[in-house]
Amino acid sequence: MKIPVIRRILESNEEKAQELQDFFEANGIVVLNLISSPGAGKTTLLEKTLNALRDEFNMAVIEGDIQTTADAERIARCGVQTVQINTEGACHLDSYMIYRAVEKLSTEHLDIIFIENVGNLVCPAEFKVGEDGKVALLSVPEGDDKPEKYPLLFSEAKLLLINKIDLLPYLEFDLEKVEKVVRGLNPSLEIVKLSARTGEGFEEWLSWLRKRVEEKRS
Amino acid sequence: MHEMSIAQSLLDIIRDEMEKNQLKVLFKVKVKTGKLNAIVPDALTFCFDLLLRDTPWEGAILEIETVPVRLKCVECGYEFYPPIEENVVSIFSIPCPSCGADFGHRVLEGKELLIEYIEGE
Repeated sequence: MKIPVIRRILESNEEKAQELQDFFEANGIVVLNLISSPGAGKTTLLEKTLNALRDEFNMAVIEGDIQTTADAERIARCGVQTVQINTEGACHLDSYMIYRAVEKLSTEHLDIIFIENVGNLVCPAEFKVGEDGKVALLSVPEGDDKPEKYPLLFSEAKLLLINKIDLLPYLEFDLEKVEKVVRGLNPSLEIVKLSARTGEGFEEWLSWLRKRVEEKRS
Repeated sequence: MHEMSIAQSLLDIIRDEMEKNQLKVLFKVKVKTGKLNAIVPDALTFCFDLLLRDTPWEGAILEIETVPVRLKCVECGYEFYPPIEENVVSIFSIPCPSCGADFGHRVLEGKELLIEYIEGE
């Protein structure tokens, strides 16, 4: 007997993600899902961001890693609530993991939750986790061909951060090409170029965050 | 390896549908995956078989149809299939065959991740 089904395979993940999104909305929390390759600078970006905005906002970080608590320890030193998720091999975070992590947070008065996804350009883009938006982080040493090779993330992201621009003089990285390709993939994508190390462009990223919090509050 | 999570979610749906339709034996499952999801069919089949091992459904066949990317030109509205390539590299930056616009095509198909039917008794 053939039974037509027609169901989205990831429906249960998506339903849980919706539940989370409703919760974040009701509590006025901006939730950003930070996705990049390993080594693009997610943790450094977060450290600098937390230190810069600590007096303005209440923030928390959910750290996704396959193994170790090294990143969570770095973040915890910035004095914000941190929950570590070790995926034990899985290459991405899903909404059930985030749900369990959020249960461990005290969410009252929180303004922003950063979800630092597992370093990987492919799988994390596939799994919604109740976020307001995905922030894709692309660093200059990775090469300017990444958006073409991993279009899903760049076509879904709300913001693209191009990190390590202080290395532009030393590497062949065509910024114009990247901007052209990602705008093609995603015409409404916003782009901020920065260096988390030198602080160049960082103020623009902070203003972007402030705007998200303002929008949420209004 | 997102295939394992996908296989697990797939199995949850199969279990639910088998129960709803009072089926005991599972012969076949048909799924559709869009090319853009970067799912490796062999890896998905491997995970599916692994999850069914030592269960009453062991041996059920998983048929995977990969749906090619179909685009709609944002300038002129022409609908087309980008040339088939090994990877998804550069399918977004190819010129529209009708007007030549080379960016901003809308994805009509190629993102789906669906179970289409199950066969059993």
